[in-house]
Amino acid sequence: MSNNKFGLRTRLGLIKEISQTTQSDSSCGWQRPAEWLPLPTVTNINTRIFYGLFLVFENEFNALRISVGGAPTVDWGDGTPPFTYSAAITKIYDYDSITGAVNQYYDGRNYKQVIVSIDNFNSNGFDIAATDSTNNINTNSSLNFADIYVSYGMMTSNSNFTINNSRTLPYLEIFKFENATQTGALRLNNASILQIVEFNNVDLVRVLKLVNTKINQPFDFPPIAASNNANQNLIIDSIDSYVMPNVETSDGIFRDIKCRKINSFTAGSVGSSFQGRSFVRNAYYLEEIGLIDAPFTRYDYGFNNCVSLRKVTFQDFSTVTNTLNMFLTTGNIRELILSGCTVGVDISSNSMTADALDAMFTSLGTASGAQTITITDNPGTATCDTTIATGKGYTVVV
Amino acid sequence: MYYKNDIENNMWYKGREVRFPNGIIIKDGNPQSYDGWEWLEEPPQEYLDWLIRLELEEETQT
Repeated sequence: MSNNKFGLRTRLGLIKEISQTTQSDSSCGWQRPAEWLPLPTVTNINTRIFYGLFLVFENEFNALRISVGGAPTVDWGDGTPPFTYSAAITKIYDYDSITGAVNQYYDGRNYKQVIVSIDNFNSNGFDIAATDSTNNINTNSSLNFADIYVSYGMMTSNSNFTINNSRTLPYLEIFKFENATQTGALRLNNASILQIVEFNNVDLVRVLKLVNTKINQPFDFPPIAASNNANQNLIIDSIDSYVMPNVETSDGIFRDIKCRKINSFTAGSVGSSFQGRSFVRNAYYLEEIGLIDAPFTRYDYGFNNCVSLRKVTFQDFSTVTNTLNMFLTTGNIRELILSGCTVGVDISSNSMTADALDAMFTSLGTASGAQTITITDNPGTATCDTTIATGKGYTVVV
Repeated sequence: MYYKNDIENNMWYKGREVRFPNGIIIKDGNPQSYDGWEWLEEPPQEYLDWLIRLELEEETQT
């Protein structure tokens, strides 16, 4: 434990200076607030349990509705007795009856805290963001979890594991998920201040939805099977490695992501018809993709509107047959390696020097029939060696 | 500008200078046409229609 001064932090447009004791659990500078109750940890990987630190605000409607599989033991954490779950149920917390310290949130509101536990759920779906019209819990209601820890007990499931769906998670700062052979769709959308995300001992997440979520430090993505528009508007500095061992769906994998760098993307067998369509489309802040190793046949609109993108490297482009508007409205590409390419590509109006264009030509394979490479309006267009490409059967538009 | 319609792949290409695998280079309208490339002062209507279709497709994907 150490005494740290947080300094100025901004939440919901308000600035508050907070001095408090914190415990060090992160290397990014962020500290788990010391006043937060610690969540239990699990040592047995076969344990199936959900723990969530839930903030109960003074003079506010603090509600939670759960709909989970099996007959787990549920503890709302407010002193009421734990019970055996049998059907979807709503909890409305009474701030005044909760014992424990009154804390002050970043914006000055008073809150108390409870630890919700759901012990021994099964694989038939898990939803802690269910709606309840009777109690006015709807898709606009926020969920007050600040810290979530899940051990999935090495289960294999195709059922959804829903932390939220369209609902917001404005307070969630830590999410840790462990011990899964396979989960269904894990939805973690609309979390705006996530500091720490961890996946440990997770073999496969069929879908990891991070739409409209902001994560303040990079994390190791688990292997993922399906990723249709799964990262739209995800704000994250960089992604080290994104692996899809068996691709189920993949339309717009990183479309609209707000990310500076993706170090590598790897895909195994492909069962998706859309494959690399709209791959990183509209990723305006993306500067670099380290290495793409995927047996996709199409990247139409794949990099469209990636106006900051400087470097793209394909491990093997020989499977690709559709490059329609792949680099439409890019403009800043300086390095492009298309190893084994056999089809035409339009890289016009970018920033390729003659050396870079020559390197791209060198990376090409032999053209499959009549194929056209368009390189107009690059700095090196006039001086590059187009015979490298024409010698492989390509027609080159300069 | 030279224009070429690749009907099989539903693609259009255009450029002022085109270099072919056989060493032929066409540039600035000389020659007027070669291997499906046509030099035109104005873009053909079919090309403009294709662009509009692409824009519509782009909007539906966004």
